[in-house]
Amino acid sequence: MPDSPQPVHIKGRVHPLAMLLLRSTEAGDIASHLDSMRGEADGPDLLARSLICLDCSWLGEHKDALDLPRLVHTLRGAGLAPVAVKDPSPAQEALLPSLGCIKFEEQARAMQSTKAERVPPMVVDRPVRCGQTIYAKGRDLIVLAGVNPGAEVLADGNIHVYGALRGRALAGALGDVEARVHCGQFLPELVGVAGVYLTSDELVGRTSPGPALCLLEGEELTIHAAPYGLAEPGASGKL
Amino acid sequence: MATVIVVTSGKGGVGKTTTVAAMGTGLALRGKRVVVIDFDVGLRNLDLIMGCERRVVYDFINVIHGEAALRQALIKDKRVDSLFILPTSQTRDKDALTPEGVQVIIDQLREEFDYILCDSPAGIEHGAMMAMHHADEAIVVCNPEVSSVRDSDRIIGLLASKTRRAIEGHAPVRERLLITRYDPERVARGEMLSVQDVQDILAVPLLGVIPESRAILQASNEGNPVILDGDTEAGQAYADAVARLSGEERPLRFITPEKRGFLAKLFGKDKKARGA
Ligand SMILES: Nc1ncnc2c1ncn2[C@@H]1O[C@H](COP(=O)(O)OP(=O)(O)O)[C@@H](O)[C@H]1O
Ligand SMILES: [Mg+2]
Repeated sequence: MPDSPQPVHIKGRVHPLAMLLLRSTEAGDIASHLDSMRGEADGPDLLARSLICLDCSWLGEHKDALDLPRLVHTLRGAGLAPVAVKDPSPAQEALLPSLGCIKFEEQARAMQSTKAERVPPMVVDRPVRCGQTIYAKGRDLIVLAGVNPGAEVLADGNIHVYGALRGRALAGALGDVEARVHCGQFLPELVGVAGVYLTSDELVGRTSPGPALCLLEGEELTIHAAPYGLAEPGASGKL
Repeated sequence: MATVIVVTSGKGGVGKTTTVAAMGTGLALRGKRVVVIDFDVGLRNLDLIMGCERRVVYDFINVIHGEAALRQALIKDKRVDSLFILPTSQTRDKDALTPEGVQVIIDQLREEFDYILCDSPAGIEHGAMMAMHHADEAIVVCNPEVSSVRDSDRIIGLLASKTRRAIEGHAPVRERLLITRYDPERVARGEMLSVQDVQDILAVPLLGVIPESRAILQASNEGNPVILDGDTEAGQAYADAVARLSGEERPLRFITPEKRGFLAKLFGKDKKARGA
């Protein structure tokens, strides 16, 4: 097996799993190294709060030398929570159910990475005028000017209007409940996220002459005027 | 080579024809060779406002159909040299305007004039599209009210997408905003949108603001473009707009309420005294 500088390495976290890249087949070495790292900022204390995935990919053809059941039990004994194994050998994979672990699926990772992949936003550099519709398919929409009365903007992602939003804006057009509408002035005819919308009738007294954003909180579409302070509910300029 | 300017608005009755008559006359007064064309087939207002309705023999549609030569249809203004009117038909319908037919005429006129002003019909249908099709520049006429602003906004969108310049990928039509029938007192009372309100939405450079003025109705009835009466505020405001169109800088006038004396207020004499 290749020379290993350290018997085990905490490779980082792919939400919501902490990935533990194994660089030794000796369960005892791994456990004692983790123990010696206690107290370090990126040490095992970090792991205590996460679900753990044991990554065997670095071990290559030597992975069968690793006593996987022993490692899992040792870690559990130390209060950690190994729940998945990445790249196990076929023999190790067969043991996973008895260990209460699952195989880390590449596919799940692939999904993660497409989400992290950045599709450039659609950028519109002039006012969106009455009678015009703009749809940013599969991406965010940025309008560097205003969206005028009688105009409509849609995006599968977020919508950012640097000027005044006076027309209609629908973010998360395909149902993304995390999409938001941001604008420089909030005076819309209609605003919505993932199919939940409010008409100007329902927005009386909730418009804003300055920057505002609109998002879904549960089933409810909420509007917040700057300064947002979203982290402290009491301080948010909720309209 | 002429500059083709469409005067357009979306909404009817906002002052397009009044503006074509005034600005066309104003440009000719500055020595430019100007022709004003009436695209409002079936209504035929421009020749009335220009005071030449009794001299109409052939019209725009006759020329398109080859029933008359362009020379025969052009009417020379009696007051200002170098100003011509191409009237439209009151009897034909709007479909008589074909893109090819209009093109031939515009191309001919471009050779002989400095400015070609196209008076657009209201709406966003065929006639309005024909009027804007060949435009190099546009004067978007708008009244300070919500529905007019919205219609003008619509038209500005079409200027950017449906004109010949847009379709052929040339430099975009240069748009300028003319706010007409502006009543500063009603604006101050919050009954009308302000210049700023209108500009906030339309985001187009301002060519001028023409005040609401009774002189306009009178000028129209007499067939005398209001710009010929330099004593009127409306006439002066149009002259300012013509100057700006010619590249001069002029401050905006007549956009704040006049301070009225107590007696004037009491007797309502001010309007007359101002010649408005
Ligand atoms: N600045 C103004 N003040 C008062 N009345 C006006 C003004 N401009 C236009 N008008 C009046 O409004 C009406 C419509 O004007 P017109 O120029 O025919 O509009 P359009 O060509 O856009 O339909 C006419 O009666 C005209 O006299
Ligand atoms: Mg007209």
